[in-house]
Amino acid sequence: MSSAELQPAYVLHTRRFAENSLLVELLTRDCGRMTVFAKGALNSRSGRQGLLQPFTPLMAVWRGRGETPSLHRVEPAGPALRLEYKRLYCGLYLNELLLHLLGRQEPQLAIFAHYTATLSALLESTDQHATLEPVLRQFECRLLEELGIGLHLTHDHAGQPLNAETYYQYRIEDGPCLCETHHPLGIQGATFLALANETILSDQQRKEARRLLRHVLDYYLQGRPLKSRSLFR
Amino acid sequence: MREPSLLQDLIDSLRCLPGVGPKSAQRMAFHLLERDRAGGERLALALDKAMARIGRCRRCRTLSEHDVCHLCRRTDRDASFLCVVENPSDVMVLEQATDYRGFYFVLGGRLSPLDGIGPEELGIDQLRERLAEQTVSELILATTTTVEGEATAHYIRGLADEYDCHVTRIAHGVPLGGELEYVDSGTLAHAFAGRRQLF
Ligand SMILES: [Zn+2]
Repeated sequence: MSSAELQPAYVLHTRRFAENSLLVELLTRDCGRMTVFAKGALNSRSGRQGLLQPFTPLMAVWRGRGETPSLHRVEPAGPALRLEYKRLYCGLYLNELLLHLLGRQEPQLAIFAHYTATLSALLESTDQHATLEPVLRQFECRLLEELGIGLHLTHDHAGQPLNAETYYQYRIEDGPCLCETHHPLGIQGATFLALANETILSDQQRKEARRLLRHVLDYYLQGRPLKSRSLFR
Repeated sequence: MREPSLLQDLIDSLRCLPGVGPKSAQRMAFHLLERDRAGGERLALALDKAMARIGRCRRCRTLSEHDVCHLCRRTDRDASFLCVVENPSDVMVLEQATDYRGFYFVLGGRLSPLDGIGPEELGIDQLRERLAEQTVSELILATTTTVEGEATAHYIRGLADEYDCHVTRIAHGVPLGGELEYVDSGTLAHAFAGRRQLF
């Protein structure tokens, strides 16, 4: 799949290839996740190494067929987003999630837009977990939604609307199922509804939402660990 | 199909060196065998010893044949400064280019969760022990300006906060004699963000 014109993209990850080239994992607007080959990118004169970094809005053109076309041209589409400290870890977490869950070359227009919006939200956020976590949860929910494996957040397994006060246990196949109030895996209806409405989460809801999404993501990751989680001590 | 032979084995082995393709490996092998046998033997012996005996310094994790490296054993260095670098070669470069008189800590890479490199892989526990000794008053971060180098710097800063240690980051920016228009935008953004007061 060649791109005839410059198209918006972000670098998710790069891997060194041979002496001075890079294999670049891109999230592109029109073609989804792409792996492109950047020949000689590590030559100091190429000027590409500084550019091919995560969180820099890029315009890129690639050429060639097959799994790994060549990066033909790349230029900045704006200044690099200066994510720092925990916001930077969050950014790396998003990238890791996308690399694990997105297939190659499947157009995912909405995901590119969510990703861009999430990076801006991180940039404007503080380093507090209370502001960072809702941003991550929202991204995770939208990502699952776009992949066609979205969470059931408004109705229980029997089709009844969720009650904010009631506790539910989440089953991947069925969605929320009623459980006892003090069930160790219980999550309050209010947490599901807050995620559905993308409203601000209370401390309690934050913990529950984290537990819920972790449970669901771990299922789809099929045992592959997310290493960036280890950065949040 | 090539016939397996000692010669072919040597040529193939030389290709593990960076930048050495089949042609240059062949040239090197013939050079050693035909023109410089003594050099070849010296190389073999040096390689053999180095591979068997060079490990990591217990204190700074740099490459050393001793339990504690030469630099860490020096008594004329200032223990209140600790400089964190990614690679052993960075120590050598800084020693040659600066008048720094403190000690070093070598991570052996940088945080790169997507490559499976987290804090454990970088000897962060060892760095923590070092900070717990309470002798370091300034921790200098000399990691690269890539996003992963930045993440590493932020992570270590978070760690140093627990020990009340002053943390600095080496400046990055426009090369000496560099014209702004030829500097890539990432470097320029860094240089701009890291601007400082002129005295
Ligand atoms: Zn040492």
